[in-house]
Amino acid sequence: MSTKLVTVELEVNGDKRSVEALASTPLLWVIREELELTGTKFGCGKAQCGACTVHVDGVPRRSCVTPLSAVEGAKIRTIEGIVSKEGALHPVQEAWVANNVPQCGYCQSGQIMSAVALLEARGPKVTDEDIDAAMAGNICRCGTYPRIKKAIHDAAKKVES
Amino acid sequence: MRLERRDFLKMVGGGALMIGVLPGCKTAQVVGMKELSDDTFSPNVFISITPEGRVILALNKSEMGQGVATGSAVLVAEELEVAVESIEAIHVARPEFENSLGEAALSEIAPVGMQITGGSSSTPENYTPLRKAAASARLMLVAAAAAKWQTTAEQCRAEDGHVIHSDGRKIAYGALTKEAAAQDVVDDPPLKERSAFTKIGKPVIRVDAKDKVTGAAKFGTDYAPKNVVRAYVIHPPQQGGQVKSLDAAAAKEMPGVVDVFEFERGVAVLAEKYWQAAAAARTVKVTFTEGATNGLHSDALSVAAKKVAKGDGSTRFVNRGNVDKALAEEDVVTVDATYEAPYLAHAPMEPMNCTVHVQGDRVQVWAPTQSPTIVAEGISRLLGIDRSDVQVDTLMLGGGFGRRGVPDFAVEAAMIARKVDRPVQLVWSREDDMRGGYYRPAAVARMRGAVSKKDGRVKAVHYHGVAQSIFMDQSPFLGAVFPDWMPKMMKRLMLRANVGFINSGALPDFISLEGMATSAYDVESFRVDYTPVRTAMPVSFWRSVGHSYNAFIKETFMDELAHAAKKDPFEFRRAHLTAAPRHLAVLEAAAELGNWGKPIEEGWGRGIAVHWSFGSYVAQVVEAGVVDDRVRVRKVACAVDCGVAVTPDLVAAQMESGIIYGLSAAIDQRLDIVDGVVQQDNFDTYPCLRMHESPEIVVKVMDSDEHPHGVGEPGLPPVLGGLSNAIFAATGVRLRAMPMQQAWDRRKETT
Repeated sequence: MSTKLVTVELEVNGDKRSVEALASTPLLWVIREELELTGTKFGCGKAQCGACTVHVDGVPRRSCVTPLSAVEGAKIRTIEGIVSKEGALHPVQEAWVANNVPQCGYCQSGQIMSAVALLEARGPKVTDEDIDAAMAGNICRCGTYPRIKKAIHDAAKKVES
Repeated sequence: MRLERRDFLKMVGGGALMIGVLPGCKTAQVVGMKELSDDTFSPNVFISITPEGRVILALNKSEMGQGVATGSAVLVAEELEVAVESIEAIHVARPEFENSLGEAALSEIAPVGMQITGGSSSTPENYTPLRKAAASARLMLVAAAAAKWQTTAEQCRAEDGHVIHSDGRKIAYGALTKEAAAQDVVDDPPLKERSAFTKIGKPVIRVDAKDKVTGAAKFGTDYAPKNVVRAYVIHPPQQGGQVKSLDAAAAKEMPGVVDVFEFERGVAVLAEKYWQAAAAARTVKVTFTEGATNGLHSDALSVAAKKVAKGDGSTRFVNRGNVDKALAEEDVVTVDATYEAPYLAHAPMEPMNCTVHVQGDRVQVWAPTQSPTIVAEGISRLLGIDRSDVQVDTLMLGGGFGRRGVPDFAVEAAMIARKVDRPVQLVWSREDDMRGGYYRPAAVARMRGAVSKKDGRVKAVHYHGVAQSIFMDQSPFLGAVFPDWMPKMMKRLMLRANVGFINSGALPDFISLEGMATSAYDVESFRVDYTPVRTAMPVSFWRSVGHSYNAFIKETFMDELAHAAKKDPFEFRRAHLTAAPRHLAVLEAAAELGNWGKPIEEGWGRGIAVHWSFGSYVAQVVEAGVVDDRVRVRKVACAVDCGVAVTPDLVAAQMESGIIYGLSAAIDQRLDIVDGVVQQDNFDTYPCLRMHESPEIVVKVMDSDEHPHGVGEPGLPPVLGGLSNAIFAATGVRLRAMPMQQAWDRRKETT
């Protein structure tokens, strides 16, 4: 295990941040412990469950297996960064609330980040097949999938393609 | 506040203690030890209203997704006359809440109990006390307003957080707290009739929804006290193994590492940050001794259990009619089948974690736990201190499913924290979580049955279950049921006696038999035998517990009997449930919702199942098939009668949840133990149902006036047998073992 420390510049939810940590540190733990944004969750540590999903330069990524050294200069967006500047919920978050999607809620930050990326890519044209493909990497042990599917369709009606 | 408070507190199940501080966790954020102002109106253990108008509900149950925070808020809002969304529901651990084991625990002669969330018991337990607590508070607020206005209470009414005079004057609850606190406590307030409900049974948005979609909700590791140190533990491959050799020189040189030491449960690596600890742990060279599970193989256990199942059970719990005679009759068709279910992990999304600060003989714990009492009891026993010296603040639970009712991870955190002068946050890896124990026990059962050739009725059913006893394994934790003042020696003696009673059969191991011994089917001769298995693999409560294998066995076997009698499985069940109206009603509702009897495409089939558990009745029609050798479920129709549905949409959500959790187990999940080591350790080897394989689910919540019962677990059991029955309808292949994908793959070897 390398003991190499690196200093990395990032843009996180629009703010410039500089982080010093072990080069191997997964982005997940940088976000949680260095940047103190705890909405992003640790679930499996090997890109199996999606609880740690964030956007790296607009693309959903499993932050638990993305080393800090690989995201120099990247734009990171986390669950804390999708609320508007005025504090209004994102249409995906609104749809989640309206459908009573969350149960334990632990996986939902990751689910929402995957859903936001899907809608940014597909917009109102999103189909069940798109949802199956885009959301298959996010496990929910509470079994909120049927409501997530419904909420994504509801949100799709409100977002611009 | 007058002394009569005591009587009221007794009624809601408590001693007499004011809410002065509210330690604990708001669903939104950690409140910490925030003092409420002196003028806060706290008429009972549940409700506090501040002069600013905050309505705070002290939750005696843990919110782990099942919706208890919302359900409790609805019950309070109904009688307090406030908006549901105005209520702040906060986890609070307190001695007065340790009476959650039902009526017996409430009696003064048996001052036992613990604060625990499990057994789908929260709503049935809280339904009346929470409404009475709220009604009492409301009547005191109204009396306070009447006194202020120098009028009678009859001239005043409560509405939306205000008291309103018939002449139109209006005052907010927050402006009445001081006066309300001076009113006589209303001991036994009348409650609204169901027809007058405006909130119970109506649509509601979860009170924790917003915090859970913004990332604001605080789960176990989202709260870090000042100066916290993170702990990563290297566990032995076999549970119970001890460190034999340790070389941590390289690890101690790693950035951020605070200390590395061996302890009772392995090697603790402490660092400023989680990843520093995890990275350093990879450089540690450690060997372990053999553990208690050494030599245990689940395959061999299965073979042995099947052999035992063929004989007589060691204990007979039910013996109605004459099974042997009925099975030997000439005019019957007999069925003889052996069923099997594997060990399972709970695998909640949030891995086990706990934060502990040992400060002399006072301990502060922050834990996502189903039972602050069990955590406090475990840590107090470890440290030799009183349970009341262990303060447990419950953080949001990232799933529980029974796993967080066991305190092992919290006690492990305390083992480390007692050696460190700082708060310690222990975080298990997913691998620790799956290999770290407390599993749903594997179970085998032989079923024999006879149906009459004349009328197609079931003449006899004989069940012989062979499974590890959860009751015996969990007995050590039952110590938390005894009050803190009971001498430790007496606790130990009582626990030992308890295990002895179970072993001797004097105390029925109802957990291992639940779902079978309670079968509602009208069967002339019925026998239930049980043989416990002892292994060192720790087992515990897993969502729906004994029902999680007994319902599979009961409902699949009932289907086999129906086919043996050449009857439609739905009609066959109906014919045997004529004396069980609530079973019958959900069965018929599910059949209609699930298009029972309607044509279906080649390759797909419908299976039906009905099961009572935790007080609630659930029937399901499962549509499934095998597509390219993959077991697929495309639709589940579900009808549930849980009595009064306090939050119908959340009842439906729990049915969906139980179905999907159950299907994950029914199709794919199993733990294989090879020489005492669990082989599956993450979601790649222990698969969970994902979006693309998740079925469409439709739920009908039955209208009922009956007392509410649980919904967290009852949605799960029927789907297991329902799936096996659907696969049989689709393919003609009878799958008698879970997980069914494996049973399908092996069908040629076993048939």
